[in-house]
Amino acid sequence: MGPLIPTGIVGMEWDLFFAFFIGIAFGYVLEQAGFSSSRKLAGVFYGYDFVVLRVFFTAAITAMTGLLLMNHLGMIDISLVYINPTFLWSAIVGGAIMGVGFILGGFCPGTSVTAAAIGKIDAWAFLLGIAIGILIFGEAYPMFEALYYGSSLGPILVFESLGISAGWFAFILIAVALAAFGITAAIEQKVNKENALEDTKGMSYTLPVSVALLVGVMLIFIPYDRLTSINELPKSTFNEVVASNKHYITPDEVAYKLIYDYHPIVLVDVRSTADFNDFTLPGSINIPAEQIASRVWEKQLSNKEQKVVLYSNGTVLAEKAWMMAVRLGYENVYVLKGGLNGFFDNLVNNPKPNTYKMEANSAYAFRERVRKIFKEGKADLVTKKQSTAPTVSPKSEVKVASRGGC
Amino acid sequence: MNLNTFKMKSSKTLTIIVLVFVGFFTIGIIGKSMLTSGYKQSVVSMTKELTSEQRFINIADLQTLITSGNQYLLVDVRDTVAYKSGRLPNAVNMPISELFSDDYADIREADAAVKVLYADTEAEAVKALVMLMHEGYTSFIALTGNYSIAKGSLFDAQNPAEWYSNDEKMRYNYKSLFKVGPSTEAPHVAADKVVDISNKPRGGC
Repeated sequence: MGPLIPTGIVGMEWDLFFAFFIGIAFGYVLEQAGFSSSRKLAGVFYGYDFVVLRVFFTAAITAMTGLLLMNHLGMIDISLVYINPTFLWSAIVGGAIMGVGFILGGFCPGTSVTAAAIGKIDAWAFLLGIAIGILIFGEAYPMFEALYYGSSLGPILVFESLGISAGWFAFILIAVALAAFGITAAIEQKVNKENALEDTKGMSYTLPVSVALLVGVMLIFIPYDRLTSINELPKSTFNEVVASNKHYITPDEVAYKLIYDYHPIVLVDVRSTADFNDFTLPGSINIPAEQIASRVWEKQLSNKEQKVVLYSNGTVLAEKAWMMAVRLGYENVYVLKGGLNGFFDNLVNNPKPNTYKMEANSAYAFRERVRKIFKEGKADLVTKKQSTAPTVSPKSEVKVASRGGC
Repeated sequence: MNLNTFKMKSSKTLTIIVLVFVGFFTIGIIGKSMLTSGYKQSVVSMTKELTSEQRFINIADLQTLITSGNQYLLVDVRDTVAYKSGRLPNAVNMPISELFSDDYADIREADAAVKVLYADTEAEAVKALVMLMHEGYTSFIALTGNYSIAKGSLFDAQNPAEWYSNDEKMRYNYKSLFKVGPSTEAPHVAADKVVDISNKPRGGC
């Protein structure tokens, strides 16, 4: 239950508490929509009552619009929402069984519960059937495990397969739903004149239709992939920033920071958590490169006062993370030149300069001193004094945020 | 209500719906080209591809590719001066500063199934790769390691030790050079484990 649980206001165990009330509300809505009547439910198959279709379309569109808008406004992080993978053949077989059962029994699983709650005997029989079916499935599961897990297509999305944006898909779905409303109303008129929707003409019908379509058009322009509340950089600016090569921090600067902690740098280790645990520069925070776009790290990366310096073993991984960060609009992000290899290269291969230039000599002396301090572990004493250590609160990133069901 | 009035009214409703639909569709198409992102790939899918290995090729695999007789194209993204003073055999030049100029259109549009980008550093090749991916060119991959390693180990003298070389390889034992680790005092936060159950189906209704 966001935003209370992910932000730590209440604990995970409250899920059950919220589930209870959401369940009551859900059951109430199903009952009010008339879904505890199997006549109404089966009507969609015979063409005399399309209320099921209308309710499901309306629910889908409302939820979809809400998701897109809330993602856009930064109220939820859609990248954390769990997407059920598509198992092609088990979906086809399961869908066929479900459809047959729906017509025969007159309920789908969710509605059978509401119907049972208002005391319908056929619904109780239906529920009993469900229980027996679950039992048989559980016992016979090893027999068709291959079918159950077979032909996984992964978490595919319709609009990604079609190559259109989420907003366009939303618009098309809304348009299709509205067209379906009009057509089903016409069919109802023909099949069942007394009970049909009378109100399919005039302002009271066309106004909501146009408003819904307007919302659909608005959704087209909402970028779905914006994961942070920071603006994505335009492509031309991105190319300029990438080409300008001004994003490198020298190893000396980082060494200076490690010894004198007041230097305004935040070190970010973009390697895997395992590598990070094995060795890292003191004071670093760990943001694995593949998580750089996650909103979890938005606060750390949008640091305005201190330079955010990304590093990995070499330059490449940090550079990849940097490019994605730049595209996401983070402005104060840099890369440690040469990475950890370059950092230690600088200290180990420190040639004594042959000139009398002051800069070269003092750089040599500085690196010698740094090497000694690091080797003897004295940097520890220095960094201990720091009071402004980057305190980062860990946020759990669990890929399970929402689950389907009707 | 008799059948005739019903027919008339429903056809009117349909006309209105169709008109509204077509109208918004046209506005949408015009608006889309003006307002949507110029990037051809989302940040999420870019990050996924860049941190996996599918967009990269190491020197050993490059050698397999060259000897296999498959179609490929080596693209040198260093500047023209560097390209003229030395390059991998059969490589063509497309400087990183002019990736999208008309002069190099034939390279960008070339038929080769695989186009391998390389430069003096791996990071530079990756930069070119990212910019090309953002423009929607999907046939490019980047060479791990860099030009001099590829030149030295692959074409001049065979040196299998460097076949899998890449920029991210640890070149020092960091711990022996640096006596502080995260275990002592560093206020670090490990990313919590991502519980990946995306391969398991879960219940619907």
